[in-house]
Amino acid sequence: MPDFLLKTDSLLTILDILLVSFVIYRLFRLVRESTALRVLLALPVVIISYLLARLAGLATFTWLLDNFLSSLLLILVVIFQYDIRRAMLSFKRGSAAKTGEHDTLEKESAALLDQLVAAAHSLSERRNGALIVIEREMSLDHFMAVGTEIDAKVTSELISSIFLPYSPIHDGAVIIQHGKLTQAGCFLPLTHNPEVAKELGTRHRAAIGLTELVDALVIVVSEETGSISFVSGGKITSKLEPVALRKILRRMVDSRWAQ
Amino acid sequence: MNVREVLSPSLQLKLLSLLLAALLWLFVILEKSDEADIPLEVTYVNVPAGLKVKAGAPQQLSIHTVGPRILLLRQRLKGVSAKLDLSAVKEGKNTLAGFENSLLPVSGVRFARVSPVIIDIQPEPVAGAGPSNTNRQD
Repeated sequence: MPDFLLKTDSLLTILDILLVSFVIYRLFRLVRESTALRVLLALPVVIISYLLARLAGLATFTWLLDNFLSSLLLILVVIFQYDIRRAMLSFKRGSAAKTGEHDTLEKESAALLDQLVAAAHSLSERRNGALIVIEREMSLDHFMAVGTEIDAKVTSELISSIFLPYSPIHDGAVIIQHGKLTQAGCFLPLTHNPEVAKELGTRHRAAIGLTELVDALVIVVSEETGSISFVSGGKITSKLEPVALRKILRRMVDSRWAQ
Repeated sequence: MNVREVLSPSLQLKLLSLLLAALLWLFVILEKSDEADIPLEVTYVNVPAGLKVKAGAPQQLSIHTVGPRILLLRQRLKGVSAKLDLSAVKEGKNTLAGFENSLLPVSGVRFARVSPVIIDIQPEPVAGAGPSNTNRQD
């Protein structure tokens, strides 16, 4: 066994490694699972390569990896810029939970969902494209710079009229915050994920792009097919019937976000 | 069924975090500066004609090295050897010292001192041997 291993306090070493491992785990929990796993698989390879290159005396390869490892933090920030932004937004928002009568909240939440499902169904039947965003824990204020302020009670009729083709604010998304329709005509960031199906249009790509950054839920109605899709966490569930949409919304929308 | 299918993504993340933490620890530990004594193999060269080094002359010394642990490990794997030029020695007791300066360490490693600092050798005449300039004993 190398001398340096004998020189270290084993208990402190275990504690040290466990502590660092916890920090790494918590940091990588903030980012998308698939990306985190890919990076976590690549980093050990880089570190092992560096140590072996240094041990073998490969000067140039050591120099290359040394410079890479020196800039590693910066590289990780660039790779995970969207995830870091999402995490920062969630810290900023903090706990959005509000206290109140549980039953009342449940009722109001159910009423909101009914209106959303009815609106989606109505828009789907008329083949009017729509993008409905429901804010959850993470604030959507950042995406509301462009758009028209509305601040109205959510009703199926209001949403349907906003997305009428001749409505001046039918392009873009409507945003629902605390049970109110606060903004319409908002432009959302498009996804850069190359795995997203090519047949999906801008509206669907915007829904996926937004949910990759924040924990919001998005209902999309296709203008071409009239099909209803639900998007969360960058994943899309397509061709939903109103009943299925209601089930998903009930599962995903906590009553406190409807307040 | 491969490992990725058996382990849940969360468990994979935990295990990989642990692996990365262990490797980071190894990286940090190996880059720390340290000191170590490494065996130094000695070879006697250019022994004057008619003389030979006695069998009891030290063949292995120890050299105190300073540098990052990983480079000390590399130095240990590579080994250190010294060729002691005995062209100037005479019959009887001769003292050799300060030859660590002539040794070439791995880049990043410093040789501090050889232990023992001085070595005494007593070449003795070779019975019945002719003159030679290339006499060499290991």
